[in-house]
Amino acid sequence: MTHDVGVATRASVVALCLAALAPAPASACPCGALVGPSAPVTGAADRWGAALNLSGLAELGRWDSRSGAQGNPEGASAYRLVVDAAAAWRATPSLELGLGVAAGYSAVENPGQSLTGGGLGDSYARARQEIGLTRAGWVPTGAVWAGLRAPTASRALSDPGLAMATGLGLGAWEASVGGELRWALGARVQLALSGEVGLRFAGLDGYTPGHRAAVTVTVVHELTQKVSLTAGAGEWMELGVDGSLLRRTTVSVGAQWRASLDWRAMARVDVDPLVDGAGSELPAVVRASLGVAWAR
Amino acid sequence: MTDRRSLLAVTLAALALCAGCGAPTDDSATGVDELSERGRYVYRVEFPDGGLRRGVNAFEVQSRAADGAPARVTAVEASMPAHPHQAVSAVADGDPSTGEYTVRGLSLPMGGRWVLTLHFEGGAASDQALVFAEVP
Repeated sequence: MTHDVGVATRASVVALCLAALAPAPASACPCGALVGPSAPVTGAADRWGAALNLSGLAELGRWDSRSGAQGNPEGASAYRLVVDAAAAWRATPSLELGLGVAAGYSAVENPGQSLTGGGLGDSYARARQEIGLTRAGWVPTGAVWAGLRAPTASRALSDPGLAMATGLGLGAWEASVGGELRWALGARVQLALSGEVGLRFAGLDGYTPGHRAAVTVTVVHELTQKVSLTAGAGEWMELGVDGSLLRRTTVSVGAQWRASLDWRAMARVDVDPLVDGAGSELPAVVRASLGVAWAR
Repeated sequence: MTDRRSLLAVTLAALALCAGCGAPTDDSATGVDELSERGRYVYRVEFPDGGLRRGVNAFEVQSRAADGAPARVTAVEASMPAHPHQAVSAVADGDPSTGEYTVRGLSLPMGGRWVLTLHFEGGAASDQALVFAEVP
């Protein structure tokens, strides 16, 4: 493919750096949720791409309805192992169409109770359009995207106990739209702000989760031509079934290594700081991820 | 960051209001007599020391019809009002003549706000009661 790889490639590099920090698409349920699909898999000069991400999650505690932070009670724990797979086709240098799916395994321990299980998670399709590929001064570049998540999670993950820990099955359809703005703070530093809203509908079991929104701020430092570092923070918000507000704050750090023109590897850690006021009615988790992506 | 959080808080407050946020916040009292939703039954819930917890729980329910006739606890369900999870149910064993029941096997796998729905039957008509609990 012979796209114009001048400015477009530069924007694509930044977008892919952000991808190292971009939230994984697998976690749909608010109990384990990060943010929905927003990261690109391919660069502007690529035609096809694929990515595989392995994450381990551990529950740290939770926030009550008054935003008070509480550690896990004695004898209680919840762990998850999640695999995200994504494939993408770049229809034009600025438009990416993608598909993704997740699978996972959960283990929940409570006094007198042990729940384990796993299976296929939800899947999604999305379109992402890069905009403003040229920039001057503080005029940002950016992207917009739209996604549709399908409730393909296996029924085993709908067990009430596991559903509360897997985060893999939303149990409803979700249509989402989002956008991102990026500014250059220097030759090697980028600032990005993004937001996304998701509308849930057609719940499978008589329950339809409330709509959600998320905002994130991310800084990317291109340490070398092959290594980029990212740091950021985000806020997840969701309306509960009873109209209450569920939310959590997440801080993240990540790194990306471009091994070759086609291959790159990513690592990141997300932590929900378990302090008063940083969340409400959701568990706080720590998530460590390793990923590999190919695009050509 | 403070401005962003302020804007966020205002936005979220508006969202909550638009959604008709009316979730009860106070836990139901335990160890005292309460009336079922339609006033047909009087019941008293006795949670174990320390209240309900994550995991498998058991607790006591005493019930009678408002006119004093015996009442049965026919079913107990639990759900999280803020989370889109399926309800879980538990078994209630007891003596209809005394209205004293033990609810066993109530699985609460996650901390947070839970609502227990107690179903009663007696001589006339069925009724139910909601019991709210914050599980650590």
